Amino acid sequence: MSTSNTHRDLVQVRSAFEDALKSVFTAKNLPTPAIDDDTELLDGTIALDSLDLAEIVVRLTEACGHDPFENGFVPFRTAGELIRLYGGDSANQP
Amino acid sequence: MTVIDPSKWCGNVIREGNNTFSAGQIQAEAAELRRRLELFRRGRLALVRPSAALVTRLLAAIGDDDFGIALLRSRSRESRESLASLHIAAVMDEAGDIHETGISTRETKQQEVLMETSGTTGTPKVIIHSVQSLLSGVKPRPATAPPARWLLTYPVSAFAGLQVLLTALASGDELITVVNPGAATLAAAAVEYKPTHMSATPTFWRSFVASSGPHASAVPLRQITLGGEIADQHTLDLLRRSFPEASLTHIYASTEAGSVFSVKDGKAGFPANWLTSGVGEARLRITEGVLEVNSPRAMVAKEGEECRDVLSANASHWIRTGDLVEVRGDRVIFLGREDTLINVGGSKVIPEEVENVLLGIPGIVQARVYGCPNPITGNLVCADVVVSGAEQGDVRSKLQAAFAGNLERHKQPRIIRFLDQIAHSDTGKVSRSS
Repeated sequence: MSTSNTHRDLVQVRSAFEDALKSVFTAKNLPTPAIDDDTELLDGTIALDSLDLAEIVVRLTEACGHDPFENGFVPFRTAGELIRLYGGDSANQP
Repeated sequence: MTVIDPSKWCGNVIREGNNTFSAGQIQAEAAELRRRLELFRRGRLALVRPSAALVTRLLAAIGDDDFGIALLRSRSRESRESLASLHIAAVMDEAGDIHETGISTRETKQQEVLMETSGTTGTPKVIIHSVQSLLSGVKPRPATAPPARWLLTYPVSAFAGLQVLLTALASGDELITVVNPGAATLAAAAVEYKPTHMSATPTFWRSFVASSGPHASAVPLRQITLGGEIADQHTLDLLRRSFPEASLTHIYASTEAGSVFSVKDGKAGFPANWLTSGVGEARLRITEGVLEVNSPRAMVAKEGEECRDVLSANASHWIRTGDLVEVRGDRVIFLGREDTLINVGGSKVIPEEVENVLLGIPGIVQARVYGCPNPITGNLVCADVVVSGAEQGDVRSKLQAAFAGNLERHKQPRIIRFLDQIAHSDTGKVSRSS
């Protein structure tokens, strides 16, 4: 996969992630927080619990059409790490 | 035991699409069929997705001979290997022609019917019933009641379909069948043929009422029977409102356990005192939250087992039904199936409980709840719903309030898809196998 494809993928995944985050916070009747790549997802920085994160992962899997966890759990902590898991070619990942 | 006696019938007995089969016709064809069956006496004969008329002819042809009839539904059962495992000597096609398999059959010492379980939650099993016990579960219409006209919503090769066929035949009543059964075609047939009796799943009844719309009241139903799935209070109330004149019965039966009991008070569940008193000839108990049944009308064997003698061995044989129940006051309430629980972060969620909450929201006519796998909580509760007679936006706006009041957070569906229809099995149950 070329770098530009990966880049475009990441833009799409980021947008799908933001959509998923928005639908989680809308259902909770809370404003959607602004987050960046380094935002930790479950350490309490934002009001996200494991059910919310599960929903984001299921929505991302559906939006991106592939499941990076199909062969088992892959660790991630931050928003950026999660987005890169869905962002196409795993060989290009840090 | 003579299964059915066509000489007792009158009028048009079976309507199949545009064809009608009178008692005289069936009798004549049964006599012809009986000659062809001579070769296979005491053997096992298979029919694959047969019509009601064909099964009727066959039952009339068999009379009181010992015979095994396998009513098969799934394509995979037609393979030679599968037929051999069931000792099928011949297969009868829809025209009534008999094709020998060359498989050495097993001598039958009673009249038995082999059927597939519905397979709602997995691969269907083949189980064996004695015709005698099947017939003992059939309640013919009392002679004083006016004639009935049944509309068959199940395949006749399914346990519930055969029950309806046997009931209609035992009562000398008419039976209407349609060629491509589905909620819409059956609703149209109901408006056209005006049945007085119908038996179907709650899933079917909800689509039936939704697709009949204002025509529903033109169907002169006197008897509404629900089975195959949990008869929830929302659906019972919907039918009570739509058909105020009809008797409302929900039956508890399964291919394995046979007909166990029926409840006629229009309330979900069944009276808790049946756990101590039994009901009819059946005894009931709850083990680890699961309903267990002891009944003389249960199957006599599963595929590969030797047949039990119906009356003696079934006396001590308890069947674990897989149905989760809970005693609430003087009522036992069905919660769902133990084999379709959704594990959300270690907590078990019963999909039927969540579906019941969804179906309580005005406008939602069908609901299917399932787990979406994910690496964080194992599964996440998700739902498909079908909306009718309401705006999708109105329904959406009511979801959170309905969940908040009725479901713990991990049970609340996180992703809900609004669909035009939800797949059901050929027996009209919401499919849970996928």
